[in-house]
Amino acid sequence: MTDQQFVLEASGVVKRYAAHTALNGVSIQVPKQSIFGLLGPNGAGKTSLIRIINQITGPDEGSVMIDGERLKPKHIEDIGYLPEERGLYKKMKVGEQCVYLAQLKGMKKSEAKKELQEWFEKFEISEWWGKKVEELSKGMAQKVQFITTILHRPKILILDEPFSGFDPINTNLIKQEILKLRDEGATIMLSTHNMGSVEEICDDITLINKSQNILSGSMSQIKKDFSKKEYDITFKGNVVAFANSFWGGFELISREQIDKDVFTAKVRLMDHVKLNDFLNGVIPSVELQSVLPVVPTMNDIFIDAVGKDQGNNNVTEDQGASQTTEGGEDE
Amino acid sequence: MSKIGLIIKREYGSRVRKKSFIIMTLLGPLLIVGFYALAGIVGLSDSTEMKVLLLDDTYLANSKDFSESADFTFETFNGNLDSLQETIKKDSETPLVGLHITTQTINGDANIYYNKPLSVSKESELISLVTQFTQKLRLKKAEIEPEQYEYISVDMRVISVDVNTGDSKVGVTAGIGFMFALVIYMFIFMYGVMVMRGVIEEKTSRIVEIMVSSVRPFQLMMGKIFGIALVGLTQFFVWVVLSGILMAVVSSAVMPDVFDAANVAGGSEQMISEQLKPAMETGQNERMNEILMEIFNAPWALLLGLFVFYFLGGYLLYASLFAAVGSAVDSETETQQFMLPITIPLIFGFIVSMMSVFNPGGEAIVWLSYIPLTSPVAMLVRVAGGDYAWWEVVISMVTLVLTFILTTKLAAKIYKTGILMYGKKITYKELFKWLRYK
Repeated sequence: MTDQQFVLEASGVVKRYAAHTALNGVSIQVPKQSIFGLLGPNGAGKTSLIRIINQITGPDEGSVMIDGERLKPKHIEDIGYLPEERGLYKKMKVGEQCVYLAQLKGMKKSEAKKELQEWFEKFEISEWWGKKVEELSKGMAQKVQFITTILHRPKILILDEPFSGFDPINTNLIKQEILKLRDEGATIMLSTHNMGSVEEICDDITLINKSQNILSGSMSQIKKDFSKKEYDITFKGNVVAFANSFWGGFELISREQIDKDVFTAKVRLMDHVKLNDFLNGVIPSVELQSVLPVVPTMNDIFIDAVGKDQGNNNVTEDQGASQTTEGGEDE
Repeated sequence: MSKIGLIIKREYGSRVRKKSFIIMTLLGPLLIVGFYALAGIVGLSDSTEMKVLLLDDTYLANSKDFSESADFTFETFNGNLDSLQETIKKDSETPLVGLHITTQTINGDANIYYNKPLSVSKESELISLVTQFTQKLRLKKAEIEPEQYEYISVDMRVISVDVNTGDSKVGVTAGIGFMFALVIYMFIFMYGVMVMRGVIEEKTSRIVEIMVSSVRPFQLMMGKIFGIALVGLTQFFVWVVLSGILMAVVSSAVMPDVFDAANVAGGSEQMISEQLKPAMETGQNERMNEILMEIFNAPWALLLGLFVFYFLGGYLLYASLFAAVGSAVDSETETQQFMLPITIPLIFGFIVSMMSVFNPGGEAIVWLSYIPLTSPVAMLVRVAGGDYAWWEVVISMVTLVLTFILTTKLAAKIYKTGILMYGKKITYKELFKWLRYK
């Protein structure tokens, strides 16, 4: 990992507001050309971190590096940011506004216009070009905003809840575009509470809780770390025989009758027990039909990790309660 | 184009293309000129001849004594007061006036009865006729020949000359200064509030977070402030040009006299010079000529230059404060608690300026012309009034510039934090905390 080039790296970032500390030594490392999930409960400090990366606010301590360089004003054009709290100028025309936002990101007017028209065609919204923003529905406006975020082909895309307000078809369209952008070389930071989409598209994640990161790493590693040696075992035979076949080596969490003499049992193996030994133990008693490892979902991992963190912090848990909405939290 | 240039362009373009702006800008001068024209029609240029019934209890007067007027025809009325009133009341068609001269008239008392209200000019003309009549009575009683009286009553034409500059004046230029002060005051308010609304709009529509990821909050704030300043200057320029044209057209075509008065208030150079000629030729109304000459000779270049400077300086100072207020609230209704400290100095400066028109060297206005929160409104009254030294203007200008740099910096800090803060009622204590955030 050490020699890997991180396109975005934050180390020991601290951000204090009057009443509370929004970020308390948060570090993240985003590998190039990956989709990085920035997760955490409401008020954890995600938006504060994103704002620092976007140079909207500055950190009190710590540093942010882009391509190994300390954050500078010129980096603004390398980043495309889709904030969670987003909007457009209501009285402006859609096309005009997109061109304006693209120009602010450093694009030439003619170039912006040309590329916008391509995107509008791709998203099948060409007829909205001359409409006023206030005439658009929420989903329509979201599409327009997504286009303005990615139009200038930024190296880094920061998407805060990019799927909210979209129907499943459009959600899928956006997902495909995000994956495509990554394949074309972009690095994407995704902040969302939609664990399903995290699971689907993220390569790495960081979980922030109470202004600190509590979990970081690649998706597969984290899943492995959080798996609890649980298996769904479907077999034909006697449940009692199954339960008694491997004494003391496992715990029967639940069972479900599939057919007359077919059951699926969810078991958790003891730490010292190998799956092989367990299977050897039960094979004489029942006829196995399938053995499936139970992989924890991101949802489980999220709840598990945050829950554990809450438990650990219970003793010193006073400043958390006084968290206000200062800094514009992500409710 | 630079980012701030793009923002200025958008802020300016989106506002000058608004229907309300176009209508206001085009209708403004029409309304002003229309107002004067209306005032002229109602109050000044009432040229219909009117019959006056003269009821004389003293038998000293007869209708010939009053025959000098072209606007009135006098007719001696035989009867008493009741029948006079009755006669006037009966004739509801034509305007009819009764003038009652009693034994008290020589002491300065007379009554006028009418069936239709008299215009201000008609009434004052009638009063001056009665006054002349009474003066004649008194001259006779005091055995003074009319020639002697004419010799005694002097109409002084005093010209005061400033020995430092050699300028002479009759004292109306401070009024010109006040006119500029009024425009500055109005514009600071109008466009300051426009800045505030713009900030609130960006905040409530949530575009602001997208904007600040592309430009620095300071650029966004200054772009808006400069863009709206250009809107203000555009509107002012259009108003001046349109008013000038309209007044020239109306005054030369319709009512030359009325617009002598309009010029004093409207103040356009070209207009004055046009008006000056006929007035001088007829040789009447010398006082009016002096006033017009003085308006004509006022240091227009200096005043206009200072106007632009103080308008921009004052606007920049206040607009940044208005922007800070806009950033701290979620809707316009919440702005009140923060508006008061901003509006009070502005209103105070305006009131003192208004009172200082006839005393431009007074102590209060001198102080206010140094204080940057009031100097944009106060200084022009002093400069136009002529009682100032150049270094005083320089001090006032430098303080204004330094202060707006300072307030803009402070406002930018509040703005930066405020625009990203939603759903929270902000107190003054918090605003001060924001000044410390990075």
